[in-house]
Amino acid sequence: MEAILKLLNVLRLKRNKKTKLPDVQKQPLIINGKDNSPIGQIKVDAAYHINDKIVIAGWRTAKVELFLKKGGDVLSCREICTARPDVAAHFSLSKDIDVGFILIASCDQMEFIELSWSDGSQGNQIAMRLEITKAYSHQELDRSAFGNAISLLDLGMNDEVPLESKHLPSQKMTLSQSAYPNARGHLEAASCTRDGSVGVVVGWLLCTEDTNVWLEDTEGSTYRLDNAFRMFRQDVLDAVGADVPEGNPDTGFVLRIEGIKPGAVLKLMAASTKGQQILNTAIVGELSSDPVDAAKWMFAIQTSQADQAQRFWKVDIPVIEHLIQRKQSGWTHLSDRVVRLGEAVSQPLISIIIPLYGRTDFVEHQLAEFVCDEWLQEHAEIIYVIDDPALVESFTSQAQALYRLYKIPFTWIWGSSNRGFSGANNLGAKYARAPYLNFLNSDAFPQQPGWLKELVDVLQSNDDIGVVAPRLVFADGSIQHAGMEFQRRDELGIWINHHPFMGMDPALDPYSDLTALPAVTGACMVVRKADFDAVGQWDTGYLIGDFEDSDLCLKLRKAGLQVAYLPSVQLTHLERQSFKLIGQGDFRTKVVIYNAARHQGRWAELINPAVAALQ
Amino acid sequence: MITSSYPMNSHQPRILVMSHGHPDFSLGGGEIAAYNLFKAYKACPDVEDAWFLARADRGRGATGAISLRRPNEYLWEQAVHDWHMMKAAHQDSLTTWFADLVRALKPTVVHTHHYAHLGLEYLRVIKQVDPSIRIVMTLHEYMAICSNNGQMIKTGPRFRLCSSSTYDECRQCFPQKSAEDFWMRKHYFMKHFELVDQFVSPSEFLRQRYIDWGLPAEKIVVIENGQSDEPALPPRPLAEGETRNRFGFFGQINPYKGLHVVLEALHQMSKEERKKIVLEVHGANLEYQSQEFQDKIEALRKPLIKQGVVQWVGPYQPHELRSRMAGVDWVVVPSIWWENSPMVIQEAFSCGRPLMVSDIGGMKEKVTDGVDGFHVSAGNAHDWKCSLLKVSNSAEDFIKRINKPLSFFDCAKSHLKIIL
Repeated sequence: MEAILKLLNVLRLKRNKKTKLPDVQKQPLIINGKDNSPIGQIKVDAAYHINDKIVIAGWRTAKVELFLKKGGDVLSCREICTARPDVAAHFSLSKDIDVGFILIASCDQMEFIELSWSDGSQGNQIAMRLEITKAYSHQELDRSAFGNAISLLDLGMNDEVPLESKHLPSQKMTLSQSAYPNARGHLEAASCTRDGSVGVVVGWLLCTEDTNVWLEDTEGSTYRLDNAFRMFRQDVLDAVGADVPEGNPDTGFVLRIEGIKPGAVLKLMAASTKGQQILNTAIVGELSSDPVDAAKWMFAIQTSQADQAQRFWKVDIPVIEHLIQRKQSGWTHLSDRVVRLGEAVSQPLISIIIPLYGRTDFVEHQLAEFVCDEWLQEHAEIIYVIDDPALVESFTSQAQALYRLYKIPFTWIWGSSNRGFSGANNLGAKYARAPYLNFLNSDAFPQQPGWLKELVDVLQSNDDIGVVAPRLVFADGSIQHAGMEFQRRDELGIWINHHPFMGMDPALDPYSDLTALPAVTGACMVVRKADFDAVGQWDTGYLIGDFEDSDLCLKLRKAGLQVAYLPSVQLTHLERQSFKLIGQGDFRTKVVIYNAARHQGRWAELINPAVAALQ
Repeated sequence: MITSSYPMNSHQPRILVMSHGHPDFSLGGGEIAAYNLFKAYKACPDVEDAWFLARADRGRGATGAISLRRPNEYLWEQAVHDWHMMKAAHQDSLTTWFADLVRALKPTVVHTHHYAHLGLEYLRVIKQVDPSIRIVMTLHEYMAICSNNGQMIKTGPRFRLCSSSTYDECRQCFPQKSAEDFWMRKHYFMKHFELVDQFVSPSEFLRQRYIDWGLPAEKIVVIENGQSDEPALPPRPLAEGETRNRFGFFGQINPYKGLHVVLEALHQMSKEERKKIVLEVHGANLEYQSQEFQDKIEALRKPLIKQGVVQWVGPYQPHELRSRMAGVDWVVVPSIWWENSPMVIQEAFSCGRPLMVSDIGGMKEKVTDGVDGFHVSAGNAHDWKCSLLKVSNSAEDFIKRINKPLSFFDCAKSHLKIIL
C-alpha cells in the first residue's frame, strides 16, 4: 500500500514538472483556489531593477498576498495598491477596488527573483521566475504601468528612506478612487515625533472650491489644511484630473501638523452640499527626533526646485528648527572635559578657537606656524575644540606628544557631543579668557608671523568694525577667500554666499587695503568678545552647517558694526570642497537650499538690495 | 657654583654627527660619508670633541632606545612610520632619550646627514634643548622634494625623469594622495628645514634642485665628500697586444643604477666587437630586487658570462675596493636617475681611473666630458655600445688629467670653515 502511494507521488511530481507555467509577464495567469477552481488572474506589467531595488508593477483580480523571493527566501517588501480602471473595466469590476499593485524590495541583484502568492491556505503557492530590466533612473520606468503611484515611488525608492523605515506610515498604501464627485484625495505619508510635538503630512487633494477639506483623527480632533504648502502634481492630474475638472491643479500638499502621535489614524475628509466623505485614511508613522534624520525623511518628499525654498519656509524650517532646539537644549546638561597643556598666557589679548572634526593631523601644521610667532605666543591663548567623539581617544595622546615637541601651551576641550561648527565655536568661546576672539579652521595655516597682531590691530584702532578676516589662498596659491557677497539664484529662489575671485591669482584681488564688505568667511575671523556675546554668538540653528559665518557678520552689521576684509594678511586654507550648489548629492543640495532659505528669511533686509530699498 | 650649558673653557666646536645608518651595519654612500666625516672631525685639532649617532635596526623594532656602540659612537633604534610626512615612529624618545643625549654631550654643532629612518622632529628637539646649537645638514638626495624615495623619477615602470615638484604633478605619481597632501608635506619639511642653519650639498646640481624647490640659495654650500688620502694606483699593466678594454661597474644593482643598459649595449655589439670588451660587475644586493628585475638581469647576463664578456665578481667590502679597481681601466656609472654625487666617481678618481657616466645630474657635473672621462646618453644602450668601443683604445691621457679628490681631512676643514 505504502509503495503504491509513493509511486503515485512520483508520477504526480513528474507530471507537475512537465506542466509548463504560463509566463506571467506575457499574459495573465489564472490563479486557482483551495479546490483547484479559478479565483482570479494575475499579470506583471513591468519589472525593474533600479538603485538596488526591485520594482514590480502589475494587477491581480483575486484577494491574494504577494511575495517576492530570491533563491527561495522571501524579500522584505513594500506593497502599494493602485487603481487600474482599465483592468477594472475589462473584468467588469467596481472602480473602487484597487487591483493594481506595485512591489518594492531591496535587492542588490536582479537574477533569480520570483513572484509568488498565497490565498492564506497552505500548499498552493507557485513561484515564478521574473525577467527583470535594469533601469538607471526613474525616468526610464514605463509610466503607464505605475500610473499615479509614480510619485509614491519617490518615497519608497529614495535611498535616504530605508524600505524598512519605521517612519513610513504603513506597509500598504492605497490610492483610492472615491465615488464622491467633488473631491479626490490621498494621504501618502504622515509622520510625527514620538511626543507628538511636530509632524508632517504628505498627500494630494483635488476638489472644487466649494468643498471643505480637513484632516481628522479618531478622537475627532481636526487639523486645517489651508496652511499646507501646495504644489502642482502632473501625476495626480493624469490619474484623476478628469474626475473633478474644475478642481485646483495644485493638488499636492505638505502640511506641518502638531499634537498627533505615531500610531494615530488620520482621515482626509471632504464635505460639500452633496454630503461628507472620507477620502482616505493613513496611520501616522514616527518622525525621528534627530534633526538630520528628520530632514532626510522630509527632503525625500519631492517638490520642484523652484518651489523648494517656499516649502522650506512654510513647513520644513519650523519643524527642523524645533528639533534642533530640542536637541541643543540637552547640551547644557553635558559636562565639558578641559585639558590644559603648559602654562597659558595669564592675561591673553586674544583667544584662538579651533574646532576639530574628522581629522587632527592639521594641528601639527598650525603649531609649527604658531611656534614661529613671538607676538602670538605672548598674547594669545590657543583653544582646540574636539567636535567629533571619534577623535577624543587618539587626540589625548597626540596632544601630549605635540606639546612635548612644540612646547606651545594650548587647551583642548571635549564637550561630550558633536555640536557642529557653530556649537563647537560657542563652546570654545565659553572658555576663552581674552577680549578678542579668533575663530580659525583647523586647515587654515598662517604664512608669516604677525598675522594675528595685524588682525587685532584693525579692531583696536577701528571702533566701527565688528569683524575682520584675512585673505585665504588654496594650496596652489590662488584665492580661496577675498570676502563674500550674496548672489541671487533665481532658479532656486534663494541667495547664496558667493566667494568672488575664487581661484584667481591674488594679484587680481581688487582690494589691497582694509575694505568693508557684505560678509567674510568664518574660516578665519577676529571679533571682540563683547560684541560676539552681545549679538548672541554663533547661530546654531542651521542644518549640518553652512551660512553661519555670514549670519554672524549680518548680526554684527545689524548691531551697527562693519564687516572688514584685510588682504594684507594671508593664510593658506586647504579647504578642498568648493561651494557647489548643484552636482553634489540630492540631500546635500537640499541642505544648501534649506540653509539659504533660512538665512534669507532672517536677513532679507540686509541681503536683498531691493528689500533694503523698500525700507 | 654656576653651571652652564656651554663648555666655558673652549671656543672650539663640539660636533655631534648624525646619520640614518651606521657603516657597521649598512654600507650606503650617505652613512659612509657621514662616518668618515665624523672620524675626520674627531681627528681634527680644531675640534674639541665629536660624536656619531646613527639610527640602527637591532632586530627588535623602533624601541626608541639609544645605546653605545663604542666610545663616542651611539645607535638610536628609531624608524619612520609615515614616509610621506617623514614622521618618527618613536615619538617619546625624541623628547626623552634623544634630548637627554644632546643635553649631556653639549654639542655646539649638530651635523646631520639625513632624516630618513629618523623623522624630521629631532631637528626641533635640538633647538629646544639649546637654540644656540648650529644645525648643519648634508643633503644626499631629493627626498624632501620627491616622495618617490627622493629619486625625482616618476612612479611607474618607465622610470621617466622628473625635473621639479608641484602639488598637482606629484599627485599624479601618487593618485591616492591629494594636491593638499603634497602641500602639507612640503609645509612640514619647510618648517623643519627652517631650523637648519646651514645646508651642505655634495653637488651643485642637487643644490640647484633645492634652490628651485624653495631653500634660500645662501643657505646651501657645495662641499664634496672626502676620500682617503692614498696615492692613485698605477694603470693596469697590459699584456702584449691588449687594450684598455676592461670596464668595471661598482655598487648597488637596482633599476635606477642602469647596469641593464650596459648589458643591453653589449648585446647590441657584433660578436667581433664584443670580443674586444670585458665588463666586470662588482655589484651588490641584486637578490633584494623585484623578481621581474632579477629575471631581466639574469637573462641579459647569462649569454654574456658564457662568452666571457661579463665577469660577475660580486659584492666587495670597502677595504677591497682599491684592489678591485686596480684590475680595470674604466669605471662605468650608467645610472638612469639623477644621482647626487656618486661615491664611486670620487673613489675611481682616487684610484686614478677615468669614468664613463650618464650625461645627467650629478654624474654629468662630476665627470668632465673628454677630460677625465666621457658622458654617455643616459639609458641609451646604443650610445653606450658606441662609447664602450670608442674608448677602449686609450685611457692614459684621461688618467693624466684626473684631479686628486678632496681628502677626508680637507673635507672636514671645508666644513669647519662654514660651521665656525
